[in-house]
Amino acid sequence: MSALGRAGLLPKVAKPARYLGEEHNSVHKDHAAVAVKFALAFPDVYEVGMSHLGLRLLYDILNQRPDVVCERVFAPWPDMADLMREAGVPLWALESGLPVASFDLLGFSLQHELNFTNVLYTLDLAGIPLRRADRGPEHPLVVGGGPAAFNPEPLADFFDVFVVGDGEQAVVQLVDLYLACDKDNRALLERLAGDGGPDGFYVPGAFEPRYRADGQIKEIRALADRSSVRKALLSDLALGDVPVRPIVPFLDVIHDRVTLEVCRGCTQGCRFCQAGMIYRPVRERGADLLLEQATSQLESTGYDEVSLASLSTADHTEIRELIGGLLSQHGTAGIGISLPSLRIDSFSVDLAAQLQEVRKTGLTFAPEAGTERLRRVINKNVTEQDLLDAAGAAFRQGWDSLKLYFMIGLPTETDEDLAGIADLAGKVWRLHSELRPGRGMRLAISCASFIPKPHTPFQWFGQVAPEELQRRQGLLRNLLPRRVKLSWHNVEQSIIEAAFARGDRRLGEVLELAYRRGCRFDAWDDQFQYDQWLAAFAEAGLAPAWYANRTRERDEVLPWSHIDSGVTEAFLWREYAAALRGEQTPDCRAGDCGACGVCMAYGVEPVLAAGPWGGELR
Amino acid sequence: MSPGRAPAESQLSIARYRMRIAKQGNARYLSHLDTVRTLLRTFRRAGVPIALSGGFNPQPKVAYSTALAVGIESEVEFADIELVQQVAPVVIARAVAAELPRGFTLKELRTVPLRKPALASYPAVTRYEAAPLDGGQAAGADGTDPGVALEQRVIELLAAAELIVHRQKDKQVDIRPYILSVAVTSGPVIALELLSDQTGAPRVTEILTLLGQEPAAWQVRKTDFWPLEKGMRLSPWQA
Repeated sequence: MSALGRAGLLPKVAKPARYLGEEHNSVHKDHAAVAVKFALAFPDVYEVGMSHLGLRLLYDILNQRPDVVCERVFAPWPDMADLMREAGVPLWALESGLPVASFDLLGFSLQHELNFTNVLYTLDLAGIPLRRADRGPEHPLVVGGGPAAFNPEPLADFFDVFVVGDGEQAVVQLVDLYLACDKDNRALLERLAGDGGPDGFYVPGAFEPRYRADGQIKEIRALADRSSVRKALLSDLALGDVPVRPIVPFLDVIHDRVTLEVCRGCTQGCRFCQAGMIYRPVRERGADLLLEQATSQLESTGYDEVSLASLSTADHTEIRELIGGLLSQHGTAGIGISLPSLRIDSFSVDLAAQLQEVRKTGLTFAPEAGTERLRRVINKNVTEQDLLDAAGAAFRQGWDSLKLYFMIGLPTETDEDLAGIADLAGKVWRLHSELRPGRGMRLAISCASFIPKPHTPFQWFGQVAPEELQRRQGLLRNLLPRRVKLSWHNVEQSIIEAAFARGDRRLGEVLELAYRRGCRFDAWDDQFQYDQWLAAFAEAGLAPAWYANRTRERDEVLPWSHIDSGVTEAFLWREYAAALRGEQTPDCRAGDCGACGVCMAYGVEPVLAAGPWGGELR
Repeated sequence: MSPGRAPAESQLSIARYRMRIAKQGNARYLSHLDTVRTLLRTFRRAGVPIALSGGFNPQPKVAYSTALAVGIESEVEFADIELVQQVAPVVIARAVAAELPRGFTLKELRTVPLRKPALASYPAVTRYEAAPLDGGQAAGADGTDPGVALEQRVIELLAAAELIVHRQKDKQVDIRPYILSVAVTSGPVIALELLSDQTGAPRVTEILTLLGQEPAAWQVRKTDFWPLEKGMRLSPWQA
């Protein structure tokens, strides 16, 4: 019935290709012939969801199993949602067109907090009760994973279980245990919450936070045997399959190319960066394996571009071999290679220049802060000279356009640091005039508002108040010459994101109220409704500022304190203290261990392609 | 903006092939750009040695027939590819057919002369057929024969001296000169022959609307395509 329903709605919506499931390499299985039906949802529109590598990895891993079918679900754009509600057509999974509610498990990829209302929106459109307490055995087990699962407390009332950490092995364990429990949701949850289960499964119903009179958490009481949840860790990426035949979207999605994850984790130790903390330790894939993966994926997709993805690709110990190999094997066929994240040094610029032989792309650096002092605070250890050297190398190679990323509202930031951004921009501009006289330059500066995230050294730091963030944005605009293009994030969205990033279970009510008031697609500027969010907070008797802007004390029980990333709280606190003193912590890649705790906890070591702790550095 | 390097030289095309591809089912919801991208990736997967243009950003030498509107199925989409070597048409056909995604079918593939204008550059006549999605139930709900009422609307449409439609930015266009014929057969099925040239082309949805129909309730299929030379219809293989 719903497949027919879909057919009737497609002619009436914008971009109907968002709702098909027939792309090349999509997997279609007979539902009657499998034991487990797994719907994998991304709570944003198709073009965003299909750009996400994790979703593609899990889709492939699950569909490799003959006893499992995995199909994709994306959030329908509001035009489609309106038609579905009007026609009474429940949300379908793309491949089969069958209702999402008919699946056994429904997994959500949780990338950031501004997607949270879209989780409720997806459940609602699928006809699945939002709260786990209202769901029965006839409903799918609702599972969440991704970086936001490291503090999933605001979502705790809506999910049955979260997968914390690397998903490759965890998702297989989940399916196996589900079958071992005879597909009984309750038995499975009991098993996952009990002692002796695998790492990485957080059953929110097995924990109960209690609050003090002042609103802080008194304790997080474990109702089952397990008192904390340690993240799942894939000790070596060579153990993690990547799709040999990735789906080729019909639509022009945001990241529409072969994406190779060259490494997971990062050793730079930037104190603001959640990914840099929760994905430790660093694990590189070897150049040989990556070359193999590039060839098979290019052949099976027909893509003409390969992206080398990671948190800091130039750090890869075999990056020269990898790029050399890709160029010699695929360069003549017109295949482009892109580096999404460039380190600020001339080595990286040389790499980028090598790739320009094949394809033109822009050049982007992320100094993050305007002065060396503030960069020491955040442990982004690049000097002004590093940046000017990198920019100079780029100009000598012939680039005339540069983009710089900064953050506003970092701990200890003053107006001097903002002036530092303008100062850097001026120096880069003059350097260009010197090296490329008579040529125009395009300089773009993008400023995000800093959002303190859980499991980072700044998890205690109160976000700078919205009015002050706005003042600083205005100040920076005035300090920069008009010819420098400046873009920034909407402060109101940052406040909501910050409140939920460090939110507790009580925010579940706010989330549901906001959704009922029409909030969804909050990451989309034109869809975000700040007034409705404020009304939802007020209705629940909670204040966004209490969550977003309040600096926590060392002894406060943080809402995610029962979720263990392997990095110890003691290390994070040491790093926070070092930040406030302006002290650097060295990159652990060279063997300079900062004792973050993750290697000790799991009995592992960083995996470097060129050998343990080593190989050729920079 | 990016490093100054010598532009690449254009690769020499040795042979040119034209293929007719049908676009059916859900593939009709792909825009022209989606279709172009999909076909290009199909050719690459098929390992067809397409010649690259020169310049700073070399492009494969591929050309398509005129853009098809989103939502319309087609029996007659054409793609021309220029290769750096001679390959037997049957070999290319087999490789491409094996890689086309669902909804696309390779119907014919032939060698065509290298130096001929692209199909999209000709004025052309396109034939469409529109059938009601629900099999005509809604249109005949009041007990009258839907075909008869439609025929009356068609007669009025063709009798009009001009048919003004409104497009983006308050643009008004008279589409009457582009409508060559409209006929209703049982079903009802509306068959249209429409002219397109560099001055413009009518949209099937515009004509359905002028006929008092809800375009989303009709399934439209492009069934024939004739490039025009001095007003004469050519076969797409001769053009």
